[in-house]
Amino acid sequence: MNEAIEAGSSTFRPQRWDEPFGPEMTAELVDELLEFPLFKQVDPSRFPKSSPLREILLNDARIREFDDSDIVMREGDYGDSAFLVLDGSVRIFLERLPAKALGRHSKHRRGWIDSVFQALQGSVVPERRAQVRSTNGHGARADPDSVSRLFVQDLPRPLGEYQSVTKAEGELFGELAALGRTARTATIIAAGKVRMLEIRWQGLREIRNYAPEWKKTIDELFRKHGLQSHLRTTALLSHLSPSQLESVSRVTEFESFGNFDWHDSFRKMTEKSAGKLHAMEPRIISEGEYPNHLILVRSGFVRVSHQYSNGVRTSSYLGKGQHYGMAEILHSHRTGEAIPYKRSLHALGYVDILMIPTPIVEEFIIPSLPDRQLSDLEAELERLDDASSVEEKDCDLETDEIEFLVENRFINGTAAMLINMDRCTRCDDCVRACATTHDGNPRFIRQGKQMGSTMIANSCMHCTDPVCMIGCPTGAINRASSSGEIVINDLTCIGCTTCANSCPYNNIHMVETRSFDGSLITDEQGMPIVKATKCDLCFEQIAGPSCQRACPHDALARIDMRKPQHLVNWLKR
Amino acid sequence: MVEALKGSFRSRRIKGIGITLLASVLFLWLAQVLWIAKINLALWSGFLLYFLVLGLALLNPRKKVPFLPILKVSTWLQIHIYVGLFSIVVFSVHIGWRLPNGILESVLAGVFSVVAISGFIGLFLSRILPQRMTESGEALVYERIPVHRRTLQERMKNLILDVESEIGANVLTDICTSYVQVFLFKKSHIWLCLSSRHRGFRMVRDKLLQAKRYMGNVELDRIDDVLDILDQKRNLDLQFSAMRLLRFWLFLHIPFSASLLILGLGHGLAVLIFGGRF
Repeated sequence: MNEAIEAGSSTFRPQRWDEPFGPEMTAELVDELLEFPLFKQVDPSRFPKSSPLREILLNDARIREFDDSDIVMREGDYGDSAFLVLDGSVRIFLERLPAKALGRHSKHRRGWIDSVFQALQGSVVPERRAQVRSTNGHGARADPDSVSRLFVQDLPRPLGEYQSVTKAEGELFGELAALGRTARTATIIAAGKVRMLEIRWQGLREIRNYAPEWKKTIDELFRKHGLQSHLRTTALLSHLSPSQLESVSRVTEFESFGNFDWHDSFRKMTEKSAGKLHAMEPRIISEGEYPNHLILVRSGFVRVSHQYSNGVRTSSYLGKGQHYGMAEILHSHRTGEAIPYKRSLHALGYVDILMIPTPIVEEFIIPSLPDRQLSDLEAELERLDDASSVEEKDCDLETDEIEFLVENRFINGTAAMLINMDRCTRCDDCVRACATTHDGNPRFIRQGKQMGSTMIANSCMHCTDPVCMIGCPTGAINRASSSGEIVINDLTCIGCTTCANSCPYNNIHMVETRSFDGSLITDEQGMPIVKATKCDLCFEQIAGPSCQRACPHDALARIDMRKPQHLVNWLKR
Repeated sequence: MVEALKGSFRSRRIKGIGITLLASVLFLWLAQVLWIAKINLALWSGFLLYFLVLGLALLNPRKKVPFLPILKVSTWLQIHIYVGLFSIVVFSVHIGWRLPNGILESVLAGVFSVVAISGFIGLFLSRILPQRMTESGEALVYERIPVHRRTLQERMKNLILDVESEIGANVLTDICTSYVQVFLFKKSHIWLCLSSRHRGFRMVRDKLLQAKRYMGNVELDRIDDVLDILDQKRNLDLQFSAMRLLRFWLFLHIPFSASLLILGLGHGLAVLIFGGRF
C-alpha cells in the first residue's frame, strides 16, 4: 500500500487530513451526523474556511461500533479523543477493573533478533525515508477491524458488581483526557450494542472553539468529571466514605489559573528577571491570608513561595495530586488559634485547582485522617514556620536548584536528560548512541542550561503537560499508549513546524528527509519535505534509552522531575 | 531510569576494589599451589591472560551497539577497569615477576605496559578533567570550537574598529592589537588543561589592567568587553586542550590493545607449536 520513493524523484507535500481519523467516514454519514441534536444547534458559518465543520467531521471523527462488554477506553491509557454516544449506552466504571481483564499487554518493543539486525544494518544516510506520507487517504478504505476492539474477560466477580454509571444516547465522554492531554480516568465498557462517534482532540478543540454550545457542554462536563475523578484519587480524601466524598465534592470549588496556551508567552517571559517573572504568574493564594480553603492541584504546576528579605523565595513546587493548606487548617482546628497561610501559591503555566472550604475540611477530612498522617502535617507546619534562614527549604533540593528548575519549567519533565558535567568527559558516546539508534541522526543536542555542574540537555523531556501536542493538525505527535512517551508518527507528520514552535524548551527539530541514495526528498515545487523529530526515549528499543545506557561514566540520566527525591538521590551519588 | 539511582559511586568503588583484591589473592594462592604441584603455570596463566585481554577489548564493540540489553556501558567500563587491574596481577605471575629477555616477549611486555599505563592515564584524566572544564566556564561542543574562536576574533576586530572610529588612535586598541589579538589567534597546547594556570591569558590580562591608568573614559567603558573576550578565549583554550587530551589517550590505548591481541596470539601459537603441544 505504501510506496517507496524513487531516488531523485519528487512527491506530493504532506497535508492535513492526508490520513483521516476514520477512512469509513463519508459525506452521507456526515449529513446524518449533522442532524444529531448536538450538531444541529451548531452554526456551521462560524467555522473558518480552512477547517469547516463538515471537513472536521469527515476527517477528525469516525464511527465506532461496539458489542456488549467491548472496552471503549481503559483507565490509564493516554487519551486523545472523545466519544459521543449515537445509539445504545455505555458503562463508566468508578472503580478499577483488574488489568488482566482489560487485556493490557506490554508495548511493542524490538526483540533480540530485530536489535541484532539493526546493529548489522547501520545507516550512512541520516534521516533517510522509504516513504514520507501515508497513502491511506479518503477512498482507500481500511479494514474495519484495523481499529482493535477488546472485551472484558476473566473477571474475578461479575461485571455488575463493580460500581459504575451509565451514559446513553447524546452524551459525551472522554473529553477530559482529550483536551487535558492526560490519562483516561475511568474504564468505559459497552452496555449492549452501541454506536459512537469518536472525535480526535484536534477536531474537538476546533468544534469547541467555533461552537459556543459545545464549549458550554464540554466545559461543564470537564469541570464535573475533573472534580469527581480527582477527589476520588487524592490520598488526603482516600479515607472518606462515598457519602462523605459526595458532600465534599458538592461544595468544592473548581478554578483554573493561567493560560491554556502558556507556551506561547513562556519563551518571552524567560528573558525577564526572576522577580518580574514571578510577578506575572497568576496568584492562587497569598502568604498571610486566612486559610479559607484546602488547595488541591488537579493538573499543572504551582510555585510555592514566601517573602524573604526584599525578594520572594521559591521553597518548593506542587504538581498533580499535591495539596497545600492542610497543615495550617489542622493547627487552627486543634488549637483554636487561627494562623494564616505560610506560603503563597502561583500558577506556573496552566493550572487546574480544586478548593475545599475549611469548614468541610474540619468536618469530614480531619476526623478521617490516620494518626501518622496527622503527625506528618504537624511536622510540616513546623518546617513552614522555620523559613528565616537561606538554608531552610520545604524539600530536599537546595534553594537555588528549586529556583532554577521552577523558573525554567524543567519541573514539567518526566524524563529530563540530566548530565553531571563533573563526570562527563564530553566523549559524545551518548550522541553517537542516539544517532546509531535513530538512523544516523541524533535526536538531542548535548547542550543546555546548567544548574551548578548539572546540565539539562536539549532533549525532549516527555512533559507532564506536553504543550507540543497542542495544535498538531494531524495528531502525528501523541502519547504512546500506556507508557506515556511523547512520540511522533513520521508518516502523518506534515512538517508544519507547529510542535517545534510550541515546545518551550526548543527540543523538537525539523529535519530534511532523504531517500536511500542520500538525495533530498522534494515536493512538486522542488521544496524539501521536512519532518519533526525529537527524542522518543527509544520506546521501541528492547533496552530503553540508548543515551543513558551508552554513557561510560554514569554522567547521564533520564530523571522524572515530578519526583524531586529521584533528582536529589542522583545529585548526591 | 531507577537503575541509575541505585547506590553511590563511593560504595561502587569500594566494592570493585574489594572484589579485585580478593580475586588477586585467590589467584596468587592458586598460582602458588600450581607452582608447588609443578604444573605449567606460565601456560595456564598465559591462557587466562589472553582471554582477559580479549574480554577487555570487547568494551569498544559494545559501545557500537548501545541498544542491545547487555548491561550498561558504564557497567562494562567498571568491569573493564577492575578486570584490567586483575590482568596486571596475572601478567606479573605469567612473566614470573621478572623482566622478559626474548625479543617477542620483550615487545609483548612493552605493548602490555603501554596499554596498562595508558589505561591508568585515561582513568586519571577522565576523573580530573571534567571538573576542570566545568569550573572553567561555559561548556563547549568540540566540533564547534573553531567557530567560537572565529567569533571571538571577529568580536575583537569589531571592538577595535569601533573604538578607533570614535576616538582615533588610543591605548586600548594598541594593547588589543599588540597582545590581545595575538593571544586570540594563538592555539593552546594539549597539556594546558593539566596546568593550574594559563600563562598567556594572565600575561595579556595583566598588560591590559596595567594600562588602565593611561586610558580615557571611552576606553575604560570598553575594557570589560575586552576582559570578557579574553576570559572566553581562556575557557576555550582549556576546554579544547582537555577534550583533545581526553581523545588522545585513546589513540594509544586502542591501537596498542589491538596489537597486544595480535602479538599475544602469535606468542601463544609459537609456545604451543614449539612446545610440542600441536
